[in-house]
Amino acid sequence: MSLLASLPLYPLISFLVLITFGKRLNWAIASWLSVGSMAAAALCSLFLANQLSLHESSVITAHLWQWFSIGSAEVNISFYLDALSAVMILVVTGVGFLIHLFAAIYMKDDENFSRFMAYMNLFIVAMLVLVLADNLVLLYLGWEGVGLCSFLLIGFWYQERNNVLAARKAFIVTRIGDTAMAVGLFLLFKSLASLNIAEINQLAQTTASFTASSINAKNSEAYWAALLLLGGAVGKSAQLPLQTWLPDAMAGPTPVSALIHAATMVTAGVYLIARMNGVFLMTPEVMNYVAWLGGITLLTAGLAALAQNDIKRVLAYSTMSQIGYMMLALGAGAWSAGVFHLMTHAFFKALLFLTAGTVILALHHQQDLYKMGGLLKKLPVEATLFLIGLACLIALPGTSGFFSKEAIIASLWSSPTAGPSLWWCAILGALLTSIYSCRLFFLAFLGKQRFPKTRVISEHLETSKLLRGALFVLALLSIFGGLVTIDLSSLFLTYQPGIINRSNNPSWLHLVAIVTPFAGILFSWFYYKRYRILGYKPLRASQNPWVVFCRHGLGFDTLYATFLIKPYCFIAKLNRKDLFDQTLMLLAWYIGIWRDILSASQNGHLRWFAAAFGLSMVGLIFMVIL
Amino acid sequence: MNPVDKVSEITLMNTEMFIVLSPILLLSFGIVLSLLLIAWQRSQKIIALFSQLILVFTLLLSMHLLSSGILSGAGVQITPLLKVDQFSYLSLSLICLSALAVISLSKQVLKSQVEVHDEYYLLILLVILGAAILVASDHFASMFLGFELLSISLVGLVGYFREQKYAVETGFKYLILSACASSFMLLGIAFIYSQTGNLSFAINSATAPWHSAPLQLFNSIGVLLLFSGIAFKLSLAPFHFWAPDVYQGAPTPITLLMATVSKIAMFTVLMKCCFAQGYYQNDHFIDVIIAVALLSMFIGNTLALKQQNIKRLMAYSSIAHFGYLLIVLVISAEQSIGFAWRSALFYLTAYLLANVAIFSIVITYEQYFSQNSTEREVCLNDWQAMFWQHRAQAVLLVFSILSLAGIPLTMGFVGKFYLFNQAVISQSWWLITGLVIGSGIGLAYYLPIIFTVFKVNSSAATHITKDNAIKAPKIFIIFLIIISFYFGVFPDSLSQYLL
Repeated sequence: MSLLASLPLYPLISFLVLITFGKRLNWAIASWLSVGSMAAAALCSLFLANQLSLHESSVITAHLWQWFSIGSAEVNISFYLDALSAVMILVVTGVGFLIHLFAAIYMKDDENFSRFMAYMNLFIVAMLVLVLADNLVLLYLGWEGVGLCSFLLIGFWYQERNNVLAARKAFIVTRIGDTAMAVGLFLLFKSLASLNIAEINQLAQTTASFTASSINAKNSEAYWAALLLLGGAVGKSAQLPLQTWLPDAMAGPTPVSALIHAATMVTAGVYLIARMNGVFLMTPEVMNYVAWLGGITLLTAGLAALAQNDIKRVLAYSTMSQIGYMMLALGAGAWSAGVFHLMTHAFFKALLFLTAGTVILALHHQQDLYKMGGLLKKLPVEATLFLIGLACLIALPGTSGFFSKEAIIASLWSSPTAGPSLWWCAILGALLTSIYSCRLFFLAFLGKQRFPKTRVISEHLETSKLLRGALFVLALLSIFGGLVTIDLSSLFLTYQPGIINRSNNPSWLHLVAIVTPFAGILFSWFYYKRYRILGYKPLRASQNPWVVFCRHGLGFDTLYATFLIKPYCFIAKLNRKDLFDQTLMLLAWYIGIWRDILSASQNGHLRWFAAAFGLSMVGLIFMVIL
Repeated sequence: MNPVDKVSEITLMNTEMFIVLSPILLLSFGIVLSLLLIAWQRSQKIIALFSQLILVFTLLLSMHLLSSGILSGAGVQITPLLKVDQFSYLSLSLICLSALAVISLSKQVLKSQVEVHDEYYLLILLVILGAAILVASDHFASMFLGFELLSISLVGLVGYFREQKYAVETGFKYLILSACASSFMLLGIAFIYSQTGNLSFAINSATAPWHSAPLQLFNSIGVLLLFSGIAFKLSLAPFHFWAPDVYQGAPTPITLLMATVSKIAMFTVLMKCCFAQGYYQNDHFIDVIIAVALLSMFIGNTLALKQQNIKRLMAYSSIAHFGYLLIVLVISAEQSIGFAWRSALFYLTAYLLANVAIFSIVITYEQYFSQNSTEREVCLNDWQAMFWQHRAQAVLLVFSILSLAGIPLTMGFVGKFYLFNQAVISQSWWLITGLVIGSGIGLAYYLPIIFTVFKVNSSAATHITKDNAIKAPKIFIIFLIIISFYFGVFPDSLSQYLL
């Protein structure tokens, strides 16, 4: 078996062992198993990525077996590794390994430790299947698999009602997107008669009937297929209008938030669009929608992040907004920049989440920013690491975030499917990013200490070198990850010749983009003065209606509750007795009556039987004669 | 009535004919021998064994003839009276199989009696001979002969245990109604003869009377009277009234005999007659068939609802099943005759296996009751928690019930599928509707049986412990399960053989 085919196998074996033996395994064995399998997978991916750069055709495939076939189209269990999926497996296994390492220590005292690690391993398996799949059906399998793991892990502490509700919400909301995606797959199969991703990308370019349409461009099959795929991507990547599940998903343990809801799973939508670039390129309209969706999401999420009290929710909205950047890049046709940002974001967002996790643990599960403060002195190492993460998030020059975000912003102005207005969106978003990052840092690490003095720092965290080790590696990756320039442009198709660039970039663009984060920092330095100065009067969360509105995610939850959930529940209640069921039961009742009538005829009298025989005969004869 | 109509058709029997007819000849010879055997020594064991031997040889002989290829094609005409083709002998094989089951079950029932019941086995053999003549007949005269032989022997068997409660009543009911049916049938044959001047099935269908004069009253009424006689035997509605009472009152092995042997033989002869005479081209006749089929499906299934007595329930269920089976008579063209035969035989096989299984289970329970000297009939409640006490028996029961209900992966499903297919080909939408609705109602009484079998013991249930239970032989049970499962999953293995 080739190395590629064995890649998802390591976590799968670990998952099976962990789920089979469960609590019978002690902590050491369980963590060695799960973390060890991840280390093996990470090494494997490194080796594969190295091999890929030597490979002539720059593609490694591994065909395992045929799953099933539909007509002439075969659906295989086979993996496909090119530069795009190589980046993805490096992120998934590399960051995944570090987070597993962290989680093994972070979750040490949990009663269901091996179940937790088993789910994490299963998640990695599903994610690897998703990114390595060579056909859309296998990709969909992985897609649903990560959704399932996300559900299981958000609700990991299922004894608390809120966690279960959050898990359910995440599952249902993403399921809406998944349904759209499934329909999209059917449509693609119907019009292109193939499910193989490489084939579809080729066929989309050459099949005339796919893009042609009788009425207008908005009616072609390509348009609908791309739109439906976008629906799936939007659900998974928490973009407008299906973004509401992500902040609630922070109910899960912090390593889960870091792994699934920041670094890997939520970027699956970005991966999907990048993967299916051949289809999206045929419909500039949908590309434009992608860009606008990304642009609006990054602004709304940035606004919402400004008003959050909970440290993890700030990071969740920040994730949403950063994925908005990736979507914006994809919509603008800057595939490579989008994927690059995906990678760097995985590094620094994992770092931020994990550091936040240690902070939360140190404060005995205190997540409220208004009850932190002054942690710089208490937790200097964590504070530095957090600062590094935030610098990358803000995209200060020299950090990895800078390279990737600049690449995105630079491509917007002249893109045929984006344009200056979206460029301004991105700049505004960058400004918001730096403001909420500063607010976060000031509230948590500067200013007056706002928690009881006795409640500081649990001991085992201090001593754990491994935990710190994982964080340091992530910090290094965050800073220097940007230097590994990846060039995927050869991988992606380019626009059709008919579409030309709109305008040339003005000379001041780069300057503005670089200066914006500093402007944001400067602004917050003065605006959030009361957060950072010691001895300021006690802080409370603002009750300004606009702030509250932003804190609740700009009212999307309320909107959906009013216009979708309530009418749905109303209809469901109306039909509580089930109209169809009633009709059917009526039928049963009717048959029951017939039974009573007929069984009266079975009276056991011979004379009646003989008479009935004769009468029936007469009846049949009449039937023939008449 | 002269059985031989045209002198020119009289042919002497040659060797080939003797060979082809050998199973029936063996059967008749066996009956004579068993009479001699009784004269020589009266022993229940010997006579039972001898009857089984005769049946096994008949079965093997007909199987051999089937595989030898003599019968392929149009079949072999043996005098104007009989015509044997592969379908006849396939039916005969089914009949022999179920007769074997009947005899083995009878042995269990008769074991407890003190008397020596040689005549019981003799009567069963006569029933089989009547059935064999029926499936081989090609002439109204031979058909009537077979019909009477079958009926009169059955009357004897139905009332056999005369000291039992309902035996005499049941025997009389069956005798009188059966005589009614015979007389109707005879009148019908006379009417047909008056119009065609021919008693052979195989008239040239191009000169069939309905081509020249579509509504010849006598002929139509004649066919109808003939059909009513057969429908009585098949307990099709509205000639079904006798079935539940007689099923209930007859000894259980004999009920099985009536449900399988008699019905398979009658249905085979009905198909032979209909296809040879070309009745399917007659719209009036088809209308009657559709009406009777729909009535049987509806009435049979409806009456079975909430039925507690298992034997009555099986009677109603069999009314419905033969209603479904009538679908094969409604064919649109001569080309589909072969397919109709295959569908019918497959369905009959499924029906036969399920019935044998269920009745054998009923008999084990009856045996238990009579041992504990609480002689009564088996009710649905007696089967409570059977699964937890007799695993193999319960599995067989569940399997047979699922097969009767037509759930996928059983033979019953495949059989029903063939019937459905047949109805679609002939575009008889009424019958399809009836089949679907009937199967729907059917689930309402088949599934409760399964629920009962799995229900955890309550006080009402009969507690049969492992020690005092009389079990059907385990090999027999396992064999039935495997056979019905195998043919359910690989129906082709049987339907190919039916080709």
